[in-house]
Amino acid sequence: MDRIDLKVLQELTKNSETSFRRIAMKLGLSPKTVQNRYEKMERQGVIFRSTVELDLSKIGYSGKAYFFVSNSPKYEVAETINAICKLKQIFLVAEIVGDFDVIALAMIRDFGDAININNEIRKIASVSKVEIAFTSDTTFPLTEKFGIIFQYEELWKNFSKK
Amino acid sequence: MVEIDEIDCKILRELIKNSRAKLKDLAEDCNVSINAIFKRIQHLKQSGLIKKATLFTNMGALGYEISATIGMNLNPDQELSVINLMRDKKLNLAAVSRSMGKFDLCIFVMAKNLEEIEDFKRDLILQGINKVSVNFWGKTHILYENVELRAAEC
Repeated sequence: MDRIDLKVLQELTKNSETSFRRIAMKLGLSPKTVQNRYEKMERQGVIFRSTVELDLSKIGYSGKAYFFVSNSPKYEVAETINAICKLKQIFLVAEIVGDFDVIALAMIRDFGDAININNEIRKIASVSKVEIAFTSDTTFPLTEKFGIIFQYEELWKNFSKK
Repeated sequence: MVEIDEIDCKILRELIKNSRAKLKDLAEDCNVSINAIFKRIQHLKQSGLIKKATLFTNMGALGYEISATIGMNLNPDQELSVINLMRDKKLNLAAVSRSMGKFDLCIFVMAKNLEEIEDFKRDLILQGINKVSVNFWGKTHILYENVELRAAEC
């Protein structure tokens, strides 16, 4: 990774649809160089993918629910994870180390959604406890700032608006 | 509310996988003309459903090897001091959400080392925020297809 790689990352983070030709012009490089850098970073796993950010409030979602799950010591965490991965509306599941064992994020349209998912998780034999936190953030699939160094002024502005 | 049909749904799913997908390929996949794809994407953008096209970067590969969700319980008047603290510490935040339920504030932070997070936690406690739950992320499963974009989809 060098400065050029980072510049390319930065441009594409702002808008991943930008053509390599335009980025090349902006950075004073050849389009081929930009393309090579992109492909190299993709190969190396620095870039997972170019993606779009959706605002799911436009199609009826009201927020996200975070499920903090504790695993029963009698079972493997993998059992809990496998079972949660199968539930509708859950889009991210991770094994975590800390006060809880598994975290699961779900998009929810209303309170009923959250209650249903909560009940489904509680039904899993290997789960001993579930705690929930709700947010009104409807950005999907990534959170708004995923993968870029944060702009604090912007954060506070967005934050105090709500 | 934005009304979307099956084809819009398919386009959205494809763009989540690859926002640089060629219109031509999308058109073939959806069995409509290139022009129709273009118009649909324009509409999805104008309606605000597509906010932006961006990059999903592997922060681990950029040196941020530790990621953690930190949930905390605080009074509303402590919010500003937490935000200021995060700014002063130059924490690399991926998400900050005011929340209800178990925690009042959930942040997702990516750090270069454990010390950064330890320091932050200690400072929170110094500010009088005692209920702080730090959870480090391990293996993550991403399951975007589980989320319904349209009620009739599944």
